[in-house]
Amino acid sequence: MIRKELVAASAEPLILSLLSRGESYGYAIIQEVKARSGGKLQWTDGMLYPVLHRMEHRGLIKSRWAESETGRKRKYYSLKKDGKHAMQEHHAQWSLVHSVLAGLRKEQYV
Amino acid sequence: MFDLEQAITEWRKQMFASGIKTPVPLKELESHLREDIEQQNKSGANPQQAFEIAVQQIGQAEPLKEEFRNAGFSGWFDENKNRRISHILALFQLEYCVWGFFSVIAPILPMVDCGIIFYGPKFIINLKFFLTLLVKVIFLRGIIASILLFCGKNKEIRTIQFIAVLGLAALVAQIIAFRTGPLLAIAFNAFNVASIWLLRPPQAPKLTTA
Repeated sequence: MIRKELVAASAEPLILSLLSRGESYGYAIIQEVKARSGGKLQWTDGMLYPVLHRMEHRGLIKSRWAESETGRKRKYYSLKKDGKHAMQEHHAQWSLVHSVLAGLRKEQYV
Repeated sequence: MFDLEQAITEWRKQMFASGIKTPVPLKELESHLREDIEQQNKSGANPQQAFEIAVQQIGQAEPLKEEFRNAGFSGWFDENKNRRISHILALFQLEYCVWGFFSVIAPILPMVDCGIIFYGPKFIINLKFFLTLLVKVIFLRGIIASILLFCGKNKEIRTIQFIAVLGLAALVAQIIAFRTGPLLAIAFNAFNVASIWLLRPPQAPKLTTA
């Protein structure tokens, strides 16, 4: 299981990256993250919503209520322009951390 | 016989009783709960098991309420209204504190010029002088806090909290110094300290693991 500090820190970049592929809703976001991490990145489901609301308040994403094919009402979130910029920033920062870590790891095996 | 609708109604009541009172988060959480129950049903769980798993997965009401509160859903009014009110209060506070700062500093300046305080034969230090300095701190704090109230960034929250506490200390000094003086001003400052504390910008919510 991934450490909770890392889970918390990665929530925003993950949500932004998922939404950059198109609008989505809370449940689907959680399932997708779970599936992509092989179940290792797990959130307490309810905790996603305060994060989404906070991001919406900061103008990174926007939301709308719509009905699904089955008639269920869902709140769909999509990326705003500022969200796209924030995502790019996150990507740059995470890539940097990753490259530093990878470099150090490589040196260990030389 | 397990009644799913009844169970969901009970869950909603519990959430409401725990403080998640604004309709939007509750509606969204319920939509999530129903989605999860349906999924659990598909994977073979009976309705009661499905409900219990989904409730456990969504998390307890108390920490959830805390996170929503930090995200700006205080249950009193929505985030934007909260923000607008804090801006109006900040403007009042700014005006009051700029005026206050100069009105307090004004009587001290001639004293310095006449050499009473720093250049006089006797170095006059009394309690009242230090209390006056403390009152000046209140107004300086007020000016800084007013400006910071306009910003919603997380890094400023601790500063605002610190300033509010500092203000409270200075408020006590103000009461001692002017206890027979302008009570209205003291009351106004008490109100300012409380408003700064209550309307500080929301903190970024933490995401906890399952």
